Formats: sequence, C-alpha cells, structure tokens
Amino acid sequence: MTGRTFYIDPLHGSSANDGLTSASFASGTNGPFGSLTDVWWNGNCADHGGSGDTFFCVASTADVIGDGTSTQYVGYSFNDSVRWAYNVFQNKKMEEYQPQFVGVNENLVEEENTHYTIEWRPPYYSSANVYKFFDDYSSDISFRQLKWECIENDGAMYYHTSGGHGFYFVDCIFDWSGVDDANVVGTSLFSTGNPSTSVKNCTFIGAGDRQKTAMYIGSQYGQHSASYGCRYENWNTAFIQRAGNIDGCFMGNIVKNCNTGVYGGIVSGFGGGHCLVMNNLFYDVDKPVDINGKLGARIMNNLMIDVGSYALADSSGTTNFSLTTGLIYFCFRRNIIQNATSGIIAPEIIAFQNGSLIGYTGPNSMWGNISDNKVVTGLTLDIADDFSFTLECPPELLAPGMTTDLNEVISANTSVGLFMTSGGYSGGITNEGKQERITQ
Amino acid sequence: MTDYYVDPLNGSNSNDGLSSGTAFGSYAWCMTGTVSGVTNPGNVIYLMASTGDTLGSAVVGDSGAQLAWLVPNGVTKGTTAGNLQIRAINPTTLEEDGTKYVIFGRDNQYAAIHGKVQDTVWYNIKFLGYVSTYSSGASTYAFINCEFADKHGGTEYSSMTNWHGLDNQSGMHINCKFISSTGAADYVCYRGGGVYGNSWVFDSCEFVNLSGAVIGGVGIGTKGGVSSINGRWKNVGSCVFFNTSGDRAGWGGQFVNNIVDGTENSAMLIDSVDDDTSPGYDESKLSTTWNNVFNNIGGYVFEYTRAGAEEVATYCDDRNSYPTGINLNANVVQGVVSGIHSLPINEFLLSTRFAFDEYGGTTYGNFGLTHDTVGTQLMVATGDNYLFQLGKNPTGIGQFLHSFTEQVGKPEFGDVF
Repeated sequence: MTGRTFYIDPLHGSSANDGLTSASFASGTNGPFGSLTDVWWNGNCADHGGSGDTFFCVASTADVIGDGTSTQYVGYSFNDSVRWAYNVFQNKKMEEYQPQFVGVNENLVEEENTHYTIEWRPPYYSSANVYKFFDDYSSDISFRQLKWECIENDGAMYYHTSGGHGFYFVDCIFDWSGVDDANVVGTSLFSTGNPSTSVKNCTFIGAGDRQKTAMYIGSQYGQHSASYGCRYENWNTAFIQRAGNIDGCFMGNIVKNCNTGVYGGIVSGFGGGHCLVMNNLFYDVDKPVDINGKLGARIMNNLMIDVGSYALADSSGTTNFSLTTGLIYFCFRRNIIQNATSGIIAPEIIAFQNGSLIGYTGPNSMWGNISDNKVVTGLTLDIADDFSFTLECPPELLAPGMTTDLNEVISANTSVGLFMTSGGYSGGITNEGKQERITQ
Repeated sequence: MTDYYVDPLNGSNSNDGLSSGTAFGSYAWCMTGTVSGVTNPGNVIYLMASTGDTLGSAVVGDSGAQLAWLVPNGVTKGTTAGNLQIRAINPTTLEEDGTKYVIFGRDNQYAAIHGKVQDTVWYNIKFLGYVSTYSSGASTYAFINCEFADKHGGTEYSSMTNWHGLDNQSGMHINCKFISSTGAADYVCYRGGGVYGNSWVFDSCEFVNLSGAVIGGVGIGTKGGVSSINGRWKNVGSCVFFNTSGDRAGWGGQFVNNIVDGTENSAMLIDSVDDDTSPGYDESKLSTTWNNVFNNIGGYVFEYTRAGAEEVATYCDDRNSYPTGINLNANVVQGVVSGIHSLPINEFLLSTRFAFDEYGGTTYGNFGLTHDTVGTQLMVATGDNYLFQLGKNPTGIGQFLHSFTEQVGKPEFGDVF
C-alpha cells in the first residue's frame, strides 16, 4: 500500500495504536504511534507504513530512542524490498513515491523552527567506532523538520548506502553537542562507502571540540550529493565530497568554527566529480577549502573571514597543477578573503608550466584557474548562535554601481546564497588583466 | 618545449617560426603538422595580432568529420610536458595586453578550424565562424579571454549556426564573449558536453544576440554537464538547454549567478530521457539553477521539453537517473511572458521541498536593468535592499549583482531599459 498517512506523537501516542489518526481523533487503539521506533524497528509494511506513505511526526515532546545501553534501536536498515521497495537499488516501483517523515506542530502544520525532536541515546561502541541510526541500503527517504539530538554516547546517522539513492534532509537539525566529551569518536556523522545524500537548509552542530566530520558523501555511481543553504558549526570537517560521477554542490552554506570547510575526497578529482563550492560563508575556519590534492572543484564567490590557515589549503602537500590533469574542473576564483592567518594559497599548491614553476596567479598561471580573488579588510562580521549575522562593509569595498550597502541583518535559517557572488577584479592577489566589456 | 611565433602580416610559412622576426605566416600552418613538433605538448605559439588571419579554403570539412591535419600533433591527455598554449600578443610590444588575434574560419562549413582537439589553451583569440566540431572522449581544452563572433570589421558570416559542436565535447571558457552580430549564430555549442561525463564550463562569460530573432535557438545544448557561472546573457533565443540522451543524461548542469536580460523564448530548457515506463512524466535531471536574475523572458523560465510530458516528476528506475536532483531555487524573475514552469510540478515533488522550495524559490522581482550607450552592458539598480526578498531570504539583490556592476556608472532605480 502507498499513499497512507501515519501519525507519530510521543506525548499522546502509543505503540498499541494503529497510527492512522492524530491525537485529536484518537479513540481506543485508533490514534498515533508513540515513537518512530514503532514505525522503524518495531513496525511492518502492512500496518506501520512503507514506501509512498507520509508520516507526520508531531512535535509534542521529545521522542526518546535508546537508553544508552541497548543496541535495540541502532542501525535500522531500509533494505526491505517489501516494505521499502522504492528504496532498493534498481528495484524501484515506478508509481511509488518516496516515503516522507515530516515534523509538524500539534496542529499538524509544518512551521519554521518547530522540529520533531529525536533524543537518541546510542550505546557506547568503542573508542574508535560508533553505532549508526541507519544502516545499509537506504535511499530516497525524505525527512524534514526533524531534529536529532545525540546524547551521552557518540553515534552516526548512517554508514552505508552503496548503490542507493540516499536521503534527502530538508530543514533538519543534527545536534551532537550533547555527546559527552569523553565519548566523542572521530567517525563521520554521515559516512558511507558509496553514498548519496542531499541536505538543504539543515543545521549541523558537532560534538567535542571540532572532532568529527559532518558530511562525507558522494557516490561513484553518480547519485546526488549536495548541501544547499546549510549551517555547520564545530566540526573537524564540514563536508567531504567523497566521490561522485555527477557534480556535487556545496552552495549557500554557512560554516563557522571548524577546522576544515570543504575537503577533497578520496577518489580522483575532487571526489571524482565536479564539486561546485559557491556562495558560501566561511567564518573562523582554519581551512575553508582543502583540496587534498584532488582537483575538480570550482570554488567561487565565497566569503572567507578569519581563516586559521590558508584559504585554499592542500593537506596532501603534493598538489601540482601540471596543466594536464583535467584542470578544467578546478578553479579558485572570485572569492573574498579577510584575515587569513597563513595566506590565501597554500605553498604546496604550485603550478608548473613547461616544466617551470610559475606560481599560481596571474595571466600566466595555468588557465586563469586561480584569479580574481580579493583580499579585503574592513568587513565586520557578527554571527549569532543561531547563525544570523550582521555584516558591515565600508563603502570603499562596494563595487561601482552597487547602490546598496551591506549593513543589514541576515536572519537565521537563511542561505547566504545570494550574498556571496562578489569577488573582485581589482586588487587582491592577482594581476590578471580584466576583460573589457562587450562592445560591438 | 619551444616557443613559436605567427605574424600574418609580416611572417612567412617558409620561416622557422622561432622568433618574432622569423614568424610563420599563418595559424593554420602551425596546426597542419607540416612542420614537425610545432604543436607538441608544452609549446607556446604566440600569435602576433598584426592583421586578420584567414584560414580560407585550406580549411575544409564536413559535418562531424575531423581533419587529421588540424589535430595538434601529439597533444594528448596525460602528457607531462603541459598543454599546448596558443596566445595572442601585441605585434609591437610582444606583450599579452588583451589585443585579440583574429582568426577567420569558415562561414558555411560545419567543420571549421579544429577537429579533435585536446589539452590546448587559447588566450585572447577572436574566432569567426565554426571553431570546433568533434572531440569525442575526454577532451579538455580551454579558452581564456577569447571572443566568438560572426562579424569583424566589414566581414560578416551569415551561414554559421554555432561555434562549437558536435557531440562529446568538453572544455572551459573563462571571460569569453559569444556575440552574434548578424543573428546567424544560434548556438554556443550544439550537443556539447560529453556522455563520458565531461563538462562545458562557462565562467564569467557573456552571450549576446544568439539566435537573434530566430525562434527556437538555444544558447547551449548539452548531453553532459554544462555550467554557466557568473554569466551575462542578453537578447538570446534561450540560455541553456539541459538536453539529455542515454542513461548518463543530464549530468551536472549548473546555471548559477547569471543575469539574463531578454530571451526570445524560454530561458532554461530541460529535456529528459525516456528511461521509465510511465509516459506522461517529465523526468527532470540533475540540474542546479540558482541565484540568477531573469528579466524579460519570452517564454517560460523553465520549459520542460519532453514530448507528451504532463508534469515534472522524478520517477526513474535507473541508478544513473537522479530523482529530485533538479534544484531550481533562489532565482529572481521579472517580466516573463508565459510563467515560471511550463508544466505543473508533481505534487509530491513539491511537497518534498527539495527541488522546488518556497524557501529561496523563484520569486518575482522588481528591479531595473540598464544598458549603457553601447547597448550591451548590464547594470542593476535598486534603492531598497529589502525590495528583493526571496522567500525567507532577505538578502538584497544589490549584493547578488555585485560582481556584475563593476566598472559601470551608478544607475538610477527605475531606469528605462
């Protein structure tokens, strides 16, 4: 069956209910489930939902999953071809939709800042590994307005979705700040062998002190991997584009208080694909972009303020732009950088031409791949805990013809997407000549 | 690795080409392979922009055929010596000061000046006529500060339809211009983009008068990925055609931070591959259209072109398809004739709020675009940051267009355009 609607209400529901009505219409066993566990770990397709169904998750009170000791509620697999047929690799039913899990208020309405909160208490696994909330094949599940709070012991969202299409998270929160410092493990929040996942307008709060990686995604089979308009704080690395035959996107995000913003993956190229890193704000990030020797990213129109190392770093220490390695996929252009402790381009990133070191900027560098970046001073950025921020910009930094200033408050839950399209033709680290305007 | 020089005014093909004083006489001479090693990896061919270089009848080709003698010899992917570079220089100073070297290609031949070309970079060249025809496979070539035109001085090309084609090409353009003065040129590239995952990249390029008044013309067609970032489009038939073919269709189309001012037809064309069993649905492929301004659009902003499609959905049964990979958000539209989408969006797809989201979704704007006396510069004026709120996003249009307004005067809000 598909197209059914189920209700989950931790305050008013019960595992004994049929889940088919909300609390307002409950009667006998006709009423909402009491927990997501009733759907996932304890449910079945016939009467607890499956592909094509919608699950309204009522944000009445926290849904406490796990007790910190039992492994009962970890590692749920969607690899059930009966129940989640849509989600099994190459076995999709054409007329079935993704299942949706939607956080709503007690009036069953989605509203901003109202999230169905999952208080997850995974058991301790080891000093090197953690339990996962999801596991194995799981794809094309859509979540929105849900919040995961990981408590006491560290955990991960999922581990492996090889061949699957992966999740979509919209307006979700992943708050790992409740993990005890002593229990933080360096594994990734989203870490898979061959995953695909896309997130939009989500918030990721790390555990410990910049110790974990938030997103480690991108599939070699070409599924989606994108982060749009998200917020990352207190991560070792916010986003790793692992692989991806198609293009990954990291656009319009805010990354603050992290060691690394975006990191080149483990597969050739920038994760094997063409990752677009555009229109992001990096604040108090040691390495906003670390290409790790993996070319293939187009890093453009980002604002980087208070960089702890290089704006464009290379942890591999071996990146060599030899002009012959598919360089069309790489560029670092039109970024605005203020207060980069070590500089803009890591010295490991060098460019050779005809066997001679030529540096990495200016008209003689490669194909102009690193050009038109602008180093500025005078920007004042004030970011609040909820990621809203004020950016003040002195008039002299405004482009001619720009009739507004930047003295505005940008609210929480917003993308900086439209903001960071600047970059400069003059000044900065480049002597690249400016192309004249069109005349005819 | 050797430097060569070409001087169409004072050079001669009987020279050795090794200095500006002993320059070759034509660009074609370098590319024919007649003189061994000129196009070897790592070489630089300096083109002295003394006068136009007409390739003329020596350049012959037909549809899709590559001309062996036009393939730079030995320039293959993976060499360690570097790419072949072809750079225009001022004939007097021998400096690269932006002076364009003008190459007159062919007006009426599909194949033109290059066949299968890989790992070659052109700087400051003005191309008239067809430029490339065929480069199946993982070709990588780049054009920096180049112009693609159909008119130069008193010479006009009226038969050519595009600069790049056919299938399976990939390449990068930075700060390039594609200008059709005669209205003959419909396309920048036709079915460009590789089925092997190569991409066309257009970074900070300008596109003017493509197709002119020709109905149905498109700016870019692609099988594989195509990106236009920070582009400026004016008076074009359409902008990008996210065309698709085969099971790898629609890889990674990206249209981000562009200004589009005036299209004859729909701005963004999105096709799809028929790889499902549910006729009537239009499978939107992975494409990202973000943070653009669309002004005076003659059709739809997004037109879904699959025949028989009834709605935009994401049914598929193939891992090479990308459900909800489409992402059309944070665009601002003013003055569109037909509407935003040519088809209704599947209700479920809308409900997931990933691909089509009121958060930062396409929003009608109210802004002014002005053009300078030359008629082609784009400027945006607004006196009110908050006039252009996008969904929940209060970021002003002024910031968005920062990069496009350099070097122009301060426009007044409400200017007639």
